[in-house]
Amino acid sequence: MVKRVLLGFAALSLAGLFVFVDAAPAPAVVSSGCQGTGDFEKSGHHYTAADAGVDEVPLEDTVHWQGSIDTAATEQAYSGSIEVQLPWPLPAMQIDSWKGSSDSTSNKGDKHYKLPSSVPRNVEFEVTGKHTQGITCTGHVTVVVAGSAFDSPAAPASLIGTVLTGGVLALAGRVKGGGVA
Amino acid sequence: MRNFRGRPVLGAIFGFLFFFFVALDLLFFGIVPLKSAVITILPIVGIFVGLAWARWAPLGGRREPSDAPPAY
Repeated sequence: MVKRVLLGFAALSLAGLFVFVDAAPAPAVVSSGCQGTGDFEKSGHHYTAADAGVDEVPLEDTVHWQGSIDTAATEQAYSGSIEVQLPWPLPAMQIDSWKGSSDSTSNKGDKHYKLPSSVPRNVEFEVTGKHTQGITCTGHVTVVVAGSAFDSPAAPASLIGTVLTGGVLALAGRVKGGGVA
Repeated sequence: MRNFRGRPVLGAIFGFLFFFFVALDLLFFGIVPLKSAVITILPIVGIFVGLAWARWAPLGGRREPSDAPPAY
């Protein structure tokens, strides 16, 4: 009996994997009127606003970035934000925002970043952004941090949690007081 | 509660936790993206699976002793 139950669970889990696998990730999309590029110094990646597919970024690097917007070069207010999409029904998490006034229609710079080592690798994050300056540009990109699942302590910790809670869940299926079946 | 042969409270709590960790496994091993609703739906499904598991309770039951004398 126990064998059949375990076999059933295994079959259910395997079927679940195929049912829940999502379709291919959406490409990076930026609405017309804006352009941008990013060159990663160590990894050598070159990404543009028009790239399709998933952008893989290293845990630490320096990015040489530049961006421009097709609008009149007159003093005008600007604002924008970047958000990470979280699972339904949670709201998107804002990771940066900006606002002010400028007559510049382009910008560039270097940004060194270092993500915490606990950040899970190979997980797809959908990042959306918006910038308004005369016109409004919107865009989204799918980003993964390079590496394998076991480069972060999150995956092994999750596996241990699965085994432990699965064991206790199995105990809930024991007949109370060792009663007669 | 009388319909449950197993432990429904334990089943509901650990059904939630077990499926929560399964959802994290799917996320951390790159099977579902962060924005997928599977991550929030699976733990809810786990509560019902845990309750169903406690109701079925297929483990640990003993067979009814037979009244018939052993045949020699």
